[in-house]
Amino acid sequence: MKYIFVVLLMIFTFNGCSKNKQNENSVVIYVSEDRVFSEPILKDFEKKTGIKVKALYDTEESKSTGVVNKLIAEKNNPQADVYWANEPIRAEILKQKGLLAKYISKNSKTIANNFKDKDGFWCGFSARARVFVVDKSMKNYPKSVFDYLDKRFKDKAVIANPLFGSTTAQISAIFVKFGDEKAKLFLNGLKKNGVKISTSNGESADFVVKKRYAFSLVDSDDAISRIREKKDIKMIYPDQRDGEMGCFIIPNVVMLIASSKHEQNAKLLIEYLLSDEVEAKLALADCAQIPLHEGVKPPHELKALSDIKVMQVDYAKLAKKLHEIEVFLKEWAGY
Amino acid sequence: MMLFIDTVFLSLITTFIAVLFGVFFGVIFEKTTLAFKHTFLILFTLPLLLPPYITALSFSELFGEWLFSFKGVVLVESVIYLPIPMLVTFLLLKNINSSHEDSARIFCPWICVLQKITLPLILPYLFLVSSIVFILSFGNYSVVNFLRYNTFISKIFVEFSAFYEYKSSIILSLLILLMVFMILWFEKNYIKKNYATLFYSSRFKNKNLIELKNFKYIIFTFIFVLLFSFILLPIITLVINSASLSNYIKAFELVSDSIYRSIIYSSIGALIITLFSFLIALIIKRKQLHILDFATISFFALPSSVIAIGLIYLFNNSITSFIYSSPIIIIIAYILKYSALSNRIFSANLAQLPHSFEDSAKVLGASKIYTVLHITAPLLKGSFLLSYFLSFIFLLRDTDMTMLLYSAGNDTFAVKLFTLMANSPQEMVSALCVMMLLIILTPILLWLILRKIF
Amino acid sequence: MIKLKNITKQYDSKKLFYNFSLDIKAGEKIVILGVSGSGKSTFLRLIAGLEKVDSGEIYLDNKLVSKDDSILVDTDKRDIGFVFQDLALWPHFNVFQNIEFGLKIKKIPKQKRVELVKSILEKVNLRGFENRAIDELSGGQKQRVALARTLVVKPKIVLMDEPLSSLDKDLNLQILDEIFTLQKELNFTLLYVTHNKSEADFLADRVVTIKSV
Repeated sequence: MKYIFVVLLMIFTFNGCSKNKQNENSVVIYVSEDRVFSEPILKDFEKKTGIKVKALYDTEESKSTGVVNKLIAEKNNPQADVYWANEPIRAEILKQKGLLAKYISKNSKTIANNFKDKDGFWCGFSARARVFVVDKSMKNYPKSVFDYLDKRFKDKAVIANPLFGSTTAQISAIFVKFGDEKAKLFLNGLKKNGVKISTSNGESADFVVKKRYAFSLVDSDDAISRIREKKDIKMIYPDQRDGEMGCFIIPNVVMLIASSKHEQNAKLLIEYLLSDEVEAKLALADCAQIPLHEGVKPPHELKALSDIKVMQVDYAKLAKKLHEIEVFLKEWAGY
Repeated sequence: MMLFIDTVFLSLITTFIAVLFGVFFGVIFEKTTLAFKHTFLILFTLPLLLPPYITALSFSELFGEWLFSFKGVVLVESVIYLPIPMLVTFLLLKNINSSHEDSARIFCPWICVLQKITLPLILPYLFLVSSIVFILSFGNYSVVNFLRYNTFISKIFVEFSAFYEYKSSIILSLLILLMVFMILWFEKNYIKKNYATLFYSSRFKNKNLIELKNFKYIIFTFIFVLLFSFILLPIITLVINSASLSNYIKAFELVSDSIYRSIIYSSIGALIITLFSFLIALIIKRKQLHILDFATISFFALPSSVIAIGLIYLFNNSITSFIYSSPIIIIIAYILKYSALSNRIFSANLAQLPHSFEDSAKVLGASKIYTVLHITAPLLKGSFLLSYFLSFIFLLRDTDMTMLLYSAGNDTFAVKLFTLMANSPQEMVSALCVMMLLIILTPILLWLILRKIF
Repeated sequence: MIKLKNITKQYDSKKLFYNFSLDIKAGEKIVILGVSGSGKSTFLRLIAGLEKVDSGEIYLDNKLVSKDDSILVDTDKRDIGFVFQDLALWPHFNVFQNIEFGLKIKKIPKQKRVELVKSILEKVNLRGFENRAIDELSGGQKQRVALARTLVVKPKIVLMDEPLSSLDKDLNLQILDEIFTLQKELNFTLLYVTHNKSEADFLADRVVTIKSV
């Protein structure tokens, strides 16, 4: 008898721990943007609307198998309603696997077409730029991504693992822009020139701050956070000269999951995330994101998009290319 | 294939060092009169309590670039896994029949008794534990990723995480199953034949402590230096980096609900794992169903992400979604992943019990269940406690599986810590790490108190 | 009382028994003599039902209990007592708890159990030892507790596997004498295994010598 009691107690305790009650007014969002920045936004939505937000957060890509794997594995019975990705390639992968539902938000109308899916499956907002973070004490600064191959910078540079995250996206962009041959030469050149591979953009930035390396390509939020901490580094937009490819921009992306259980609430959340208000908050926050809506002020350390030479890319093509170069990238990374 | 062999080599070296030092400490802390030995025992267990990544992080602050190498990985993993052979050695020596040693002491001094009698007697059981350490080291991803050292597991991880290729990850995982099969085959044919009945001390049980005499200062200093360099200093670094009490307050506000969930899931999971493993160990012993041993070790060896994705496919449907969307799915994952360790602890202890203990109960009319409840289980009290607390620790610090299985809004402390690491202030992260350590230390202290009582 | 018919038992290609038959009357004292490894302990274990015969039949009280690789009646239903060579006293129980174990299984009420345990302790000259821990006892005292535990449930058949092997000569004689007296008083059938001829001479109505084939 006492064992039955213990089992019942366990079930009740679990029920108490699990907040998934069917009748709640809620929405489930999976989030790949850093929790420290995304959680306050979601809490604001909760306060504004009274809709309970149940969030599931990611870690830095290289530390876990991530939220995207969970979304893919849950395909037949989705648990999430919305996915907030921190770059569009994941969105494209999910679209290609049939996990997304079309939804064109009214707030997406003022976002440039190159930052949203042409079929309406996802929309970008609050972007980062891929920039150089540079040790101020250096005599020469890099000006282009291809300066990674410059002999002046041999053994002095670092880059985050190109198998994960925003670095993967940028590498794919180079493959699409310049073709496989030149891109492979570039990657092999990184090794020849002694470029160190770190586990993440954050780690790369810290290496430069600690003067272990002279420069690295990172996301602009990694650079800004360290500049705000008054570290001895500066930020440079790469490839801004005539004839150069421009700076690679990575927007956050929001999308509606197919067969979502709380579709109405999901759409409300998407509307909110794509609003001027959220972009303004993310610009002001330590993540220092660049707004894609016209008229929303960027962080004062960063230029507005209209003042940067932006690399023109089709994110759908990047996702396709990533699949094609998978084998090469794995070999290059030593797997 | 080369990557597989390299990783096997790395794990073998790590296991050798962890077991060598673990046994040394186990012997010193159980069999000698060293001052503060129980305090040392607790402190050397600390690296096991933290998620491995945190230990690697704290070491990197101290050792710098040197750590990012084969040697660095071996050092960090050895320190993390050393507590397992240490605690098991401690338990085995506690239960050894002192008459085995007494009869040898007639002929030779203690160092010879340890070498020729005590350690050879417990060696087969230590092999069981060594295979667990080997598999833990082989399957570790967070340390090798942080230290930027490619291993076979990172390859599987990359297939999942960078390219969403489940099929190739699963195929690669089959190699791991093959390795498990070979380990178990070796155990069955060479190791289990050498089990000896060591069980329980004679009436002179506490008189077998080794007086260290002139060596006590040297040994004490040696142990203290190791403890300070590899355990205390990294933890002190974390504490210093956490800067001020206000960080702890802010950190607690952030994570209080997830701490509660972590403790509940881990407590219940550890209890179920302990009971389940005891049952499995009994069945394996009585029915010689070695397939169960293979199954538990296989799940232990498989990458957490493979198990988690498998469970999602199995339970995420309309019929079983009540399981999938509740903590039950996490508990199931924990049982699959972590039963092997407890199973090994019970198997080692069960092998020591004389058959006649159960036979005499049988002759007196006791049913099998009655015998298990009143004879077998009480004699394995130490194993129950050790199993529970090791399981609790592993569950509390699990991230890989929990990350993939928890339902939105119900994250655990370890998962929350990981998700907050990216771009949170360093002081906050350090405060959270220290908090995790304190939470896990509490049951350790409880265990020591319970040991005294029982 | 005990009938063995054409028993064959083999261990690792060594034949311990081959077409072995034996009849034992109720109340008889049989001593099984043999050198180490000849199969004496196995013989007892076959009768207890702790091992199966390869072929042949075992009857207890005219009831078929084991036949040809099957145990038809489980150990706990055979109404036997067994004193093991290593005594198998449970270290987590004290003397009282060790002895009352069998009585508890038979659901004897507590008061009656206390009476019976005290009575048997008296018979084995261990009055007042109820609350002693097992590891506080001497060899002879442990031997007596093992005997008390076996006899308190009043089995019809008692099996003893070299019970005196670890005791000194004087104590041997003392315990042997106690076993002899108890057997007379309680009239159980005794199967007693030893390699010591003088024990056999003292105790046995009949001696069965097991030789290796």
